[in-house]
Amino acid sequence: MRIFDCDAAFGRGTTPLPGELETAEALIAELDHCGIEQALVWHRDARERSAGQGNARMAALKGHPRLHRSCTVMPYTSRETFTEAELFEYIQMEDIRAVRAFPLTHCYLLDTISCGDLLGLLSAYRVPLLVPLGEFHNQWQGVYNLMRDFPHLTLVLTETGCWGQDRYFRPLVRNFPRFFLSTNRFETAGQLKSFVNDLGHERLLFGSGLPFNNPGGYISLLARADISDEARQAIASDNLAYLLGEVAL
Amino acid sequence: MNLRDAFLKGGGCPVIDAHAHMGPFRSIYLPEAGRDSMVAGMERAGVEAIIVSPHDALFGDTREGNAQMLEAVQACPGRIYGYCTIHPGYPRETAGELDRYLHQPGVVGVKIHPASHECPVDGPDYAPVMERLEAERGLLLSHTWGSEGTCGARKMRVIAEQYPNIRLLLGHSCYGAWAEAIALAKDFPNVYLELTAAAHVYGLIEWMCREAGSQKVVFGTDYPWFDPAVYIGFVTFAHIDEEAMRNILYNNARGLLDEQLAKRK
Repeated sequence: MRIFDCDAAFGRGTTPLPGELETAEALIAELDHCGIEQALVWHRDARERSAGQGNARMAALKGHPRLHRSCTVMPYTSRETFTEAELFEYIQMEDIRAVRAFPLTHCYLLDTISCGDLLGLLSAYRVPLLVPLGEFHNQWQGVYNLMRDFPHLTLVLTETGCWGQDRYFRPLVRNFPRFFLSTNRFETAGQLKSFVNDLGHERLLFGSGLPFNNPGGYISLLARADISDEARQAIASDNLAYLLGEVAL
Repeated sequence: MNLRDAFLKGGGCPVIDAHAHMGPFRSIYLPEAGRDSMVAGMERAGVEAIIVSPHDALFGDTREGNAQMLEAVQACPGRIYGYCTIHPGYPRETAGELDRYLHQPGVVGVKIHPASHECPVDGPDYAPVMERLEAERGLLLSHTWGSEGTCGARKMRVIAEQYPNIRLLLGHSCYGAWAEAIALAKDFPNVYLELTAAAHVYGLIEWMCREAGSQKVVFGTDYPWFDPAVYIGFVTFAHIDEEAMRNILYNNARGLLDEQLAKRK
């Protein structure tokens, strides 16, 4: 099973973790331990210090064969970051194919009023936006509002919670073809098989959640799930590769 | 083949899950909640045995839930063991429930949930349970969470000090208060760290083994909440040796179970 991880981070954050991955080299060593070939990565500074600092910390990874950068975005409202035009020029120039947002930590609303232009462009260019569930104000209601207002946005929801949240996310999967879920915290017994049986395998992406989560559980889940090998491989890597290949900058 | 790869290919070593439930639960989609589907899930994941306290015992009428527990234990001997759940909000029922269940074959201990039952674990309504288990060297699985509150690490330390003969499983290992929980397991020979909810934290199993020793870490999943395959992966991908993995997945729970089962022969 080839694995392409949609959600791995490195760097030193505010709070020490039981397992730290301070450098890209440390992250690669852990990916090797787990048998993960590639990862779509972010730097903890982008969430915990500032988006700009985190993005800058990953400059050295340009062209890396295994670690693919994602750029953390914020609205231009306070003129602290890129304009929308500059952002798209930057990610095109840097060959970045996915962005992340941490609206709760960065104190803004991921909605039409604050981020309408940005979200409209991400939708038009099919650039995947990855956001942890916990970063939405009002949690699931925030996700529902975002998808209702931007139905063509490619949203990858990460860290969706370990306690079988299907009653929340299945309606989103059914209604929005560009809504995806990462497997990190997908831990409920029988949940993966049930999801694939009912909704197919196309909307799930393998995510390790490193260095916050232990990737072994999610690898084991996929390896042992009673699903087809085609579904297993799609979730492990092919769905993410397809999404990144769809970006139309 | 190493243990990790053996599990990925459907083999591995025996596994005992010391923290399981049974039946539907109000706020979680649980596709494997029924007894038969749980046993089938155990077969798939390679889990030899589980110790259950049904959801109805914890969040409904405890007496009904305890009856379900005994029925499951009797229907699946050697595969399903049971905890007698005690609800401190109904203290007059405590002695009767303990008398009814605690010496039944396959019922190996007591489960308490001080957070959901809004009762401090060191309060007077739990004292009869503690005294009974202390006298019998019994097994207690307590929900524990954080440092403070009804069953945080501070109160669990009081229990560990006061009742040195209780085999005390810290359910969820005082989630979030890792250093305090690990110190408890290190300081008291009768205290064990239980992995439900905690095991997903990267680096935590290694920390537990390093400080408290792998013989003080017990496998649990809240099954049918969490998938045993996920939790086995958390253990087998941890940076610990295979002896430690086997201790966590099987040996420690086997020892605790056998001690209790021997008293019921």
